Amino acid sequence: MKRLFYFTGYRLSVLHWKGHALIGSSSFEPTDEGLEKFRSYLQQTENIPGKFLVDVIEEDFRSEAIPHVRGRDRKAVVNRLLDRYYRSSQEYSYSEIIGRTKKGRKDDIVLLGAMTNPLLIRPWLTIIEECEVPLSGIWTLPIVSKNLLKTIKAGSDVVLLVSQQVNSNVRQTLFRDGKLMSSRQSIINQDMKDISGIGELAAPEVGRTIDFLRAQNLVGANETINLHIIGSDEQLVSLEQHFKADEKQTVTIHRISDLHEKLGITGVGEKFSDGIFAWLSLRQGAFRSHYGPEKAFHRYHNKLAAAALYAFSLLVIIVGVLMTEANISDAFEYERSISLLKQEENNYREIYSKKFKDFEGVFQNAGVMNSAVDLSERIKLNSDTSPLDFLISLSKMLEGENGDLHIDKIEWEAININERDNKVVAANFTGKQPVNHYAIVTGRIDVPENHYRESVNRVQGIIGRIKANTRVKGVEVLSMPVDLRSESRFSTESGVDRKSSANKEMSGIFSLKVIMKAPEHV
Amino acid sequence: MFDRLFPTLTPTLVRAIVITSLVLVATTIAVTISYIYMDGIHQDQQSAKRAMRLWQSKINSSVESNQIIDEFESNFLKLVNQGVVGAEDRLSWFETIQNTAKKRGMPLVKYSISSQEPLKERSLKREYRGIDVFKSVMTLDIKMAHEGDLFALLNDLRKADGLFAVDSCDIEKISKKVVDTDNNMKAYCELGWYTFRGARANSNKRKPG
Repeated sequence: MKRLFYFTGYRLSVLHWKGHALIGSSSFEPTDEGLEKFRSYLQQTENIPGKFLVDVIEEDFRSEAIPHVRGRDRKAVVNRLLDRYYRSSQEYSYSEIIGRTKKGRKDDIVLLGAMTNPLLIRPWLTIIEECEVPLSGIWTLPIVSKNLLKTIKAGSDVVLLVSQQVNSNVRQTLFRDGKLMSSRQSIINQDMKDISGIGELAAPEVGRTIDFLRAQNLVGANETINLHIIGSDEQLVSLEQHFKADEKQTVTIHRISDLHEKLGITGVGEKFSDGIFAWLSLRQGAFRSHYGPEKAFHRYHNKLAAAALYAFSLLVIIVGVLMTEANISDAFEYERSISLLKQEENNYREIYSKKFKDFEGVFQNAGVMNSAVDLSERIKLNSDTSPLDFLISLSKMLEGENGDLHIDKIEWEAININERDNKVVAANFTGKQPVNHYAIVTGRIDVPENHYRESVNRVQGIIGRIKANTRVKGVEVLSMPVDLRSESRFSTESGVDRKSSANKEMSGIFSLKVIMKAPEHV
Repeated sequence: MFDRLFPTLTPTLVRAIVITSLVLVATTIAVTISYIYMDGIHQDQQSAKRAMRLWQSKINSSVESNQIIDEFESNFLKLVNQGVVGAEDRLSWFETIQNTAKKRGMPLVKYSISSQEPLKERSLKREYRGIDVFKSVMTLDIKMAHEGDLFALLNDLRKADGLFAVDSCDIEKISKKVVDTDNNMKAYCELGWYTFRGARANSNKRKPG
């Protein structure tokens, strides 16, 4: 349920809405008795928030051009203007930037408005405050009425909206491209019981208003004004008779009942258009009240904050319940899991004590057994790199050499070659690295004395045969029968007087360093 | 802003603030207590899980050990019998050398053996835990007719109780002229004899099933 306090300049109506339907209304006169009735009405009815809509003759609207500034500067400029025009009713004033001038320095155009006599509504507001009714804002009908433009399809160009909310007044509000430019209320002398002659009474007032607007330059001299007139069924004939379209104005008459239908509101009287604006006012957002100091609405703000806190509390309760429930169900789940785990543990214990407990000592040896067998296999495998393997391989390499080749000495060692720096170290038979042969082979070739070329060729041939073996990693010459290397010193003798050497074993000697890989199967 | 919107706090708002605060406190207490309760049981569940897994892993490890024993037991016992695991059988080595020298009529076989030393290779500790490896270095100084004698001796030593590898060996012809004498060659070799010991390596209790 929503409640609207509708002040028409004299009496105050209270309208109760439920959804789109007006379900009840009461009116109060501005007399002591009326005010007392209003107080007692508020005290006896449910204390729901309400909006205050004013539609009074004592309202003024004007637009001014101000420099295009923002923030505090704009606020200061606007406040100065409000102070200048509406000093006595500054708390009941309104301002809104509605556009910019098209020429010159493109100033902002600000709409200024105010209730010039706020004392009219003060007694009512005092009672509302005393009865602790949360008031969400004070709205003014001319500004609210721009929300009707879309419904009557008058959102562009110059529109003069003519409406009647009470018997004695006609409201004329000027819009340019949907922005409020000016509004005034004219008093008409209409019979309370017969409103069918409205056209005759309203037409001169509207004419005067148009003349005023053109004189104020709010509408150009030759600019067309689109007149949109709202009237009841019994007013239509009169309105059609007295409002005629010409080259400077178009006329559209809207039936109140049609507008009710378009807006979807029910239960509203069709005599005047007050119900339409009351409904539009209720549809206004709750923030940014047109008039009134903020403190006048503190009860409403408190109520909103309280509602937000209750909503938050509800959310906290829901989240808390969910979290607590989650924790408790997790705990139950864990408890079930614990009993299952304990059962499983007991099963394992039983199996272990039945089958394995007596053999704990034996099992502790399993790792040692494994290690001992593995290690012995490794040592055996590495020990295949032996002098026997080397000699057999060497004899195969030198197979087919003449009988004049003698191997006199072999100095053999088992080695590892460090992969990082190719350094040769004594073999570690327990390691993963392959064990290689390292041997210094010293031999002789029986060739005729001083046949240097043949000696050298023979040794080179032997080296070639050794190198050709795929297991051989390297062969290095340590000494040759004749050392012809540039860095070596060499001397010999030759001539007919020279006796043939009897000691053949001292000539043709060579020495090689051979590095060979482990047998293939290692 | 707050002062402007709420110049005075109405009883409605005060009541809402009090209720919200109470709800917050009560909810926090309820959630905290339920969490503490749940966390305590969760800890119990974790320790129950650990206890169960301990027994599970004990069984798995026993089964694994059983498989290892199945796979390695016979080879391991062979190593024990061959004197690779346990105390070294030096007498067996000397007898083998003596028998081979006598059998092949080798002119001279000098042999000596150093004291047993533990091997301190880092990789050993890493790869073969629970086992200590010892090495004794044997030197052979031989005079012989030909290199076949040396290899026969090494082959015979392979059959003796123990495990060895040849570290180095120098083989040289004594006389480069004559080839048919008994003292034709000499050799000097160094052999490493390896033995393993584990703290419980010799337990002889039979394994299950």
